[in-house]
Amino acid sequence: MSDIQTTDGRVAAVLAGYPQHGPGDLVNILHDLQAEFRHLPEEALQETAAYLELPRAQVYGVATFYHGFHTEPRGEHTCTVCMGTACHVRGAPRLLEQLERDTGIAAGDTTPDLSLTVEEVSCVGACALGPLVLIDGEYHGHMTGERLSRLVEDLLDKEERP
Amino acid sequence: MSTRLADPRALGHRRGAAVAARATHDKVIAVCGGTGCRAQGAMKVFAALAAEMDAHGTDATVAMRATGCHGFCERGPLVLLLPEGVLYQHVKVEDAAEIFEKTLLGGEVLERLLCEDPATGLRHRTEQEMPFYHHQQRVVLSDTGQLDPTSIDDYIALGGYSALVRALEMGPEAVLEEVKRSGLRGRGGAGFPAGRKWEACRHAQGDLRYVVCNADEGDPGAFMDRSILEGNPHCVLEGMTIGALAMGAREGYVYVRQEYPLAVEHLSAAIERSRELGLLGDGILGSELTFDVRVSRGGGAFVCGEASAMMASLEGRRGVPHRRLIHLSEHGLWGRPTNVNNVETWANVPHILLRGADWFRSIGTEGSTGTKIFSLVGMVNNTGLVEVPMGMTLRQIIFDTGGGIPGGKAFKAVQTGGPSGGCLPADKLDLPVDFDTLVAEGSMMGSGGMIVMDEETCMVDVAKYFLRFLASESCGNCTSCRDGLTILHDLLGDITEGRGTRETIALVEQVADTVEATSLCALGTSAVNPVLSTLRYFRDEYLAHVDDKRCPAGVCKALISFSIDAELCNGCMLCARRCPQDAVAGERKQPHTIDQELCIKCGICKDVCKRDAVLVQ
Amino acid sequence: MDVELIIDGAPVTAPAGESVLDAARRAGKDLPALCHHQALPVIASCRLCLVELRRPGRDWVQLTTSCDYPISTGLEVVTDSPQVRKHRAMNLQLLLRRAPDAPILRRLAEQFGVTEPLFAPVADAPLPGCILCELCVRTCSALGYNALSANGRGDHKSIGPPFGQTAAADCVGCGSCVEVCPTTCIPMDDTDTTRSIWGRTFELLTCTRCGRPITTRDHRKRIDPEIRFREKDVALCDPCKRRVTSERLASPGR
Repeated sequence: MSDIQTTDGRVAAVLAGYPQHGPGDLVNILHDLQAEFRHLPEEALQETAAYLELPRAQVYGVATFYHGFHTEPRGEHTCTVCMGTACHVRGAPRLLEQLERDTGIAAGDTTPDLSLTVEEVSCVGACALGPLVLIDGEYHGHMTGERLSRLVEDLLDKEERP
Repeated sequence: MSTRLADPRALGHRRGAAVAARATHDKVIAVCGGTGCRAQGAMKVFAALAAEMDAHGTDATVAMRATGCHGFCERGPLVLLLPEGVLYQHVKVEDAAEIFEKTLLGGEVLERLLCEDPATGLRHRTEQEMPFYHHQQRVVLSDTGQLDPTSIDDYIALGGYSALVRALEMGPEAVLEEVKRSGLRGRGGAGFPAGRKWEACRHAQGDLRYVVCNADEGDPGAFMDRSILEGNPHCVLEGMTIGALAMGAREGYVYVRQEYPLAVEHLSAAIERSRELGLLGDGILGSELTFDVRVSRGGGAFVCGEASAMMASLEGRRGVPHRRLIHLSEHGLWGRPTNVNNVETWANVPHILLRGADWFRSIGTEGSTGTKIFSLVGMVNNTGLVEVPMGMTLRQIIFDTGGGIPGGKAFKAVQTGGPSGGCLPADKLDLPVDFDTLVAEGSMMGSGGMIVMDEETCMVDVAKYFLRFLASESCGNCTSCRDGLTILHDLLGDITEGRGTRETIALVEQVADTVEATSLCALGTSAVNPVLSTLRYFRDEYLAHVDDKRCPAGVCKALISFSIDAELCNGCMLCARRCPQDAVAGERKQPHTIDQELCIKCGICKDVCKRDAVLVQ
Repeated sequence: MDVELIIDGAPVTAPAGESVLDAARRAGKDLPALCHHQALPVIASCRLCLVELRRPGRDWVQLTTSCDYPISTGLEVVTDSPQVRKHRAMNLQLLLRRAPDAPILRRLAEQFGVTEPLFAPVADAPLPGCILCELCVRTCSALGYNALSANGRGDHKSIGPPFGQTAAADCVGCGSCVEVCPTTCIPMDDTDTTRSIWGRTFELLTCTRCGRPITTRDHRKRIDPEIRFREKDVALCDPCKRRVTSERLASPGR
């Protein structure tokens, strides 16, 4: 079915979880692939297109439409600032600015050594705890600039230690 | 105990067993396991309490449960001790031993852990005593604090699926009539009468039809649906099954936004349990009803809360809405009749079936029956989820239930309806909150997000925030929405950065007019509500920004400066040490000064100053 | 079955199922609709084809795009009004921001009284002059190549081949996208023997008689199996074929 070379059985393993291989499975498949590879590599998207018998362009168009999917490699760690309205009103933009200062990268970017990705998200639904920062998926509420600096320091230290 | 329930009698037996199982324990420790409490360490507290239980060897008489969301998220981790109903807030791992020995075994209440009312300083023992809960009428959220969302038996023990039994007895037409009569209107924001939508779907042509639950909950600041799905997923499944019966659908989807992993987890587990018991699948409870549900994750797009965009996403396409001259109830998912309802709408259905349309109509107002869940967040004391009858006023919700504004600051505005809604000022506080009243004032109730703002919120900044959000969430199809919102955001940027003039405001109104008049879907047409409502009610603030180049709330960086009050400063050098730009000069014990050239207005000095000596002007 | 409606005060008869845009154009109205094409699915992207509608028995006037609105009995359509002009002009302004030099937009601007651009042109667009009408995407899809898609969304939406501009594996170089593009913003470079488009270079087949480009070898390979051209039929461009045929017909002793 696929005329694309893949060096990896991991994509096939994910696709095998969708035996009906209809177009309606596409978004769910992309989620699983992203969980596997931490982003959506080109080869994985090509193989998905072949499996679902969809044009490559459609698969790519879908993958780039949704902000939950990333076609560029992401960092091993992610630091996400919630920018929902409630968090905004409680000072989230200042936290994001500080995070960008501390890490040297802009929201949406990854450090060159692929250790950390900084991002913003519109709302994670934990509004009572705003302002909120997620570190590797873990929620940290009532965040202050100081705590954030320290958490980021710890995170980056973790990377430097062999 | 995973046997298929062959008929309602079998369900009854299972319920009896489940109730008995719950009753064998004298005492229950219910730890809130919602995302909010988990974020503050609730599961570690759970583990610590479980360890205490083991250590004391009390598992025969004490039960432990991780429940769904209690709604009082800011006070988490929350621990409820039954049967007394004592509620503890901000519980730490270190408190576990004391809670177990002193309260659970000793019957002594620990004052320091009781929920404090910030307005009065009083500490309350039980939910009923707390203003936050006292003014609520919890229907949909009545059980979330009582059950373990991963246990179908808990749901059944509390009466779950008896509504389905009743629906099966009544038959599809009677169920439809009951839902119509109840006046239930969609809780996702549009407020369309659910019964009428169900009827259209039922009578649409075609063999196959679908029921869909819209759990995309994209409004920032809203987390009602998250809590329902995490805390009591079965009530949504039961509602959808009843709907499937009424409309003749055999397949259902729950479209959950990808930012809610716990909701996906609990919902998926609930579906598995239901299938095991035959509450989903073929011949449910021995009837002719065949219905199954699948979970589909969103990819991260606010626009997919719009039903036709959601269909596109379910069909593996980009989430671009299409013009709906033919209703989705006739031509929806895969071109087939489809009924989409919001999580909270589905969750109301079992209650309507069990207690009747008349009971539902007795709550709320004539045009807006039943209760509504709001996420009351922002600058308010008691932040969390509140469920109140429709028609309660903004003042009652924000001040009676919400406990007013923290820090003694003044109320400035409340933003309702998410990015499609508007900001209402203090003189609108006595308006009742329902589907229709707020619309005339330039806002809307929407899905229930209610964000309170105080005197330190800049309304121009808020409008800009919403435009940035909407511009990035626009699907990009329409020139007016895609490019219009970007331009509006740029213009608001001009205003907040000191480049704005009266002409800028005029241009904002002109562009907004076209965005509203010529966009294809509701994202575009309602995107102008935040900016237009703030222009309507807070025009002075806009004028201060453009005429005086001043931000009265002290937010817009380009228009404010930080300085130190020499009278208050004690020269402790804390701010000087913390300043990331080394912009603070001064000797120990001498008043400090801020170098305006270097200052980037990050606000850290104001945060750390213990003397409140940093002024923002 | 025909439908009777009223366009700008005059009765019009049009086939059922037709859009208001098509019925209006058939009645001689000059409605701009940059993202519209007879042969392609409607997406109603440009928002220029605005009209006002009033349905029989109803008071209120609805402003709407006409390309995606079906005609119905008794429908009253107004193709030119202050409201229509105002909003069309603003959407034109927004499009001009993306394609300030496109001749079609300048013509429309003049026609609808847009004299001064309100907004600075977009900087750093990946495809300058693209108004995101997706005619190229829909055309490529209708032809079965599916080499193009809309990518990203909102202000960052862009058109192009998947995985970046240089990996257009499905593209056959037929140039149909260039033909349908209203702002001619898709770069295509033809030499005597090559065509470069979407980051790829194709072997270009040219007319053996006049040297004009016919199509790429990749394109021909794709359509050949269906049509079974004879070599001599594809060696000439259409004008030359006509000329050769008429020469042959006109030559004496035939």
